[in-house]
Amino acid sequence: MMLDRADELEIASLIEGELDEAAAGALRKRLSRNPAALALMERMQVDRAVLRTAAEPALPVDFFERIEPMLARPMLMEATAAEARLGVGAGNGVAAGVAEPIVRPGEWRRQVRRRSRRVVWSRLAVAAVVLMALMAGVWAAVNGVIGALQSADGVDERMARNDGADGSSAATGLDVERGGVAENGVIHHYRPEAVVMRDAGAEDAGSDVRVADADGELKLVPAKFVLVVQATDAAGVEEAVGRSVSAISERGALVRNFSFDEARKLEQEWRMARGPGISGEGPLVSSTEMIESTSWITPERMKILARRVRERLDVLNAGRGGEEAEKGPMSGQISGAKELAPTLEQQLDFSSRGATLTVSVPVADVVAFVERLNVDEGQATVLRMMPKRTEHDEAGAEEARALDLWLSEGPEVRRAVEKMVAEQSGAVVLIPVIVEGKSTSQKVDKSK
Amino acid sequence: MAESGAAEGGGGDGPRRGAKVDSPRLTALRELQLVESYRKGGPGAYAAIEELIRSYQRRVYSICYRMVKHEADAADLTQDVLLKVVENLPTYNGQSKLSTWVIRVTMNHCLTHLRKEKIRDHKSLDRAGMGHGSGENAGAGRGGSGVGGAAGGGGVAGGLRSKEPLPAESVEQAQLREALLSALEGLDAPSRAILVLRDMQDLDYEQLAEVLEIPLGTVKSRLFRARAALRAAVEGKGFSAEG
Repeated sequence: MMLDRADELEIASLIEGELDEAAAGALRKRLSRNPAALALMERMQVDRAVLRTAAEPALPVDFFERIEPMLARPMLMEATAAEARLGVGAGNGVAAGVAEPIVRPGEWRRQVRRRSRRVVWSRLAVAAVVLMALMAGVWAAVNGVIGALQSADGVDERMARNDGADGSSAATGLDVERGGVAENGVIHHYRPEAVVMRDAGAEDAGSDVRVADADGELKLVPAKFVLVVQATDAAGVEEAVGRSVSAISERGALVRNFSFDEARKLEQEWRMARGPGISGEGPLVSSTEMIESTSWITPERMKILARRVRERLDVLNAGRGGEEAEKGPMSGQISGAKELAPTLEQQLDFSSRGATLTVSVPVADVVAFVERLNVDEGQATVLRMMPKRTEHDEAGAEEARALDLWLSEGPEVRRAVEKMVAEQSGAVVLIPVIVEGKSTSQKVDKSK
Repeated sequence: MAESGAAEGGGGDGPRRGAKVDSPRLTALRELQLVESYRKGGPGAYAAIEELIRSYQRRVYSICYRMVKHEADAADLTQDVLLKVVENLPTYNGQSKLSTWVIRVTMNHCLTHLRKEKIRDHKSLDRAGMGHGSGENAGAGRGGSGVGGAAGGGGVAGGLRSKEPLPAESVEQAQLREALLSALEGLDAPSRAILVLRDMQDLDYEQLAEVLEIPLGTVKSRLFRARAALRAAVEGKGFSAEG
């Protein structure tokens, strides 16, 4: 009886209950020319069904009672952080002869937070004495400079126009001057280039950018990995992610990325408005190529795209008059400080790969954030390396894909996170978030 | 065996104290609540651990028993696994289901134990002389290790609980089942592992790949080969029922 690999896999699919009636019938018909193979398949099918009825062995003993003396019972019942550090003593109800506690609840989380705080505070301690006397003056000076730059470039006006037709930011709840938290989140939003001081030579849209804020320099580092959240309720994901960000750190933010499809549409409108023969605009691909794929994207082209999008939005919002600002797949600051938001180029880079959100968290809190999202919010998440754009272009990406990729990329992601924590400990990392809808019923019933 | 089909613990987020010995399986959300409760510490942590352990102990023991085929060894392994789970629970990062993580710890312990037994049996002339041969055979010479005198049990011990009622089971089916279980004991550890996890623990392909640390794309072919080996072993023992 000779079976090739394809036959083996198909037989395996039938045995595992993955083939429908028609496919199973077709396989049986094909195997009828190989009676030995057909008989083997049918016996294996029966074997599986019978094996599944095998009785479960009875517990010989209550294992919890066996291991209970070895658990740190007094610690679990009464420990506070101080007691945990000092250890238990006779007065805490520890039975004689009980072994030293092997578990300290909450210790892992305390260690992570202690470590991250130690790193931050050790660096701040050096500068604290000098900066304290100058802090108020620096804050006032920085705000004055930023305000002057914004006015000079018309960015302030642009953002105000984007927010509302009458140019008032109050209509949409965004206080541009204070850089505070947007109240409605459904507004055009991107950090104006004018306040971004790019590292010399940095051309990549995903390169490090340094933004001055009142407390000193803030380094934003785009992650090399993405967070994939699988949820049946995609709309609830934003809320859940936002809660986790807020719970983990005050220096966190959540932004809805500017839609890449929307950007392409606006760029098309920009072209049509300009007419043929766009000269002096730099290398950008044809309309058809831009719409049909993402393979044309380079950092330089992304900058051109972003600039055209901004210009088109200026035109649209200037022309809206009394009309409400366009809603839809807009970017928006959902929570956190604007200074922690990615630039438009970065948002487009992320959204071109399928990431509808960006989370900004301090590097040291990345792991705690993901854990919180899993445990507190009950979301199914995986971290994977940044997907290529062509992967996202492929229609009908299967639910299993995220897990499949995590299985193969897990070690790489872990290394990337550890490297980041070790080398960029004071930075804030921008993590793109891909939300995948999860059907409530299995597409393929693999267990039966 | 539905992963989330068991009744949830009592209302509210707090774990139940004094749960009966053998608790039904918990939902994934309930498990996460218990893990968080344990990590927070305080009075709720103890009850959380108790509920978790009681919900998993049967499953862990069942896997250990099917893998090592010796009641006393299975009991010892189960104890080790449960302690390991409690010890490492603070580091559980939630990236996979808790059940998958626990089963992975369990299987790693079993495979390590089997490897050690194989080395020990290979080195021991006495054991070879007693005809025990491969360490994968039940060790009748081993005494119990604190499990109520269940010595030399090996193989399919008594005291089995029916998984589900089988009122109309034929004699042939019962005989086939015994033949399959006996043949399962003789398979190599990886084949035994994948069949135990798939057919007796209802793991899906992704969970199998994670627990056994094999590529997802090879799960199906490994399952096929394990089933073929099992079938060959059954027929080798002279059981030729058509099923």
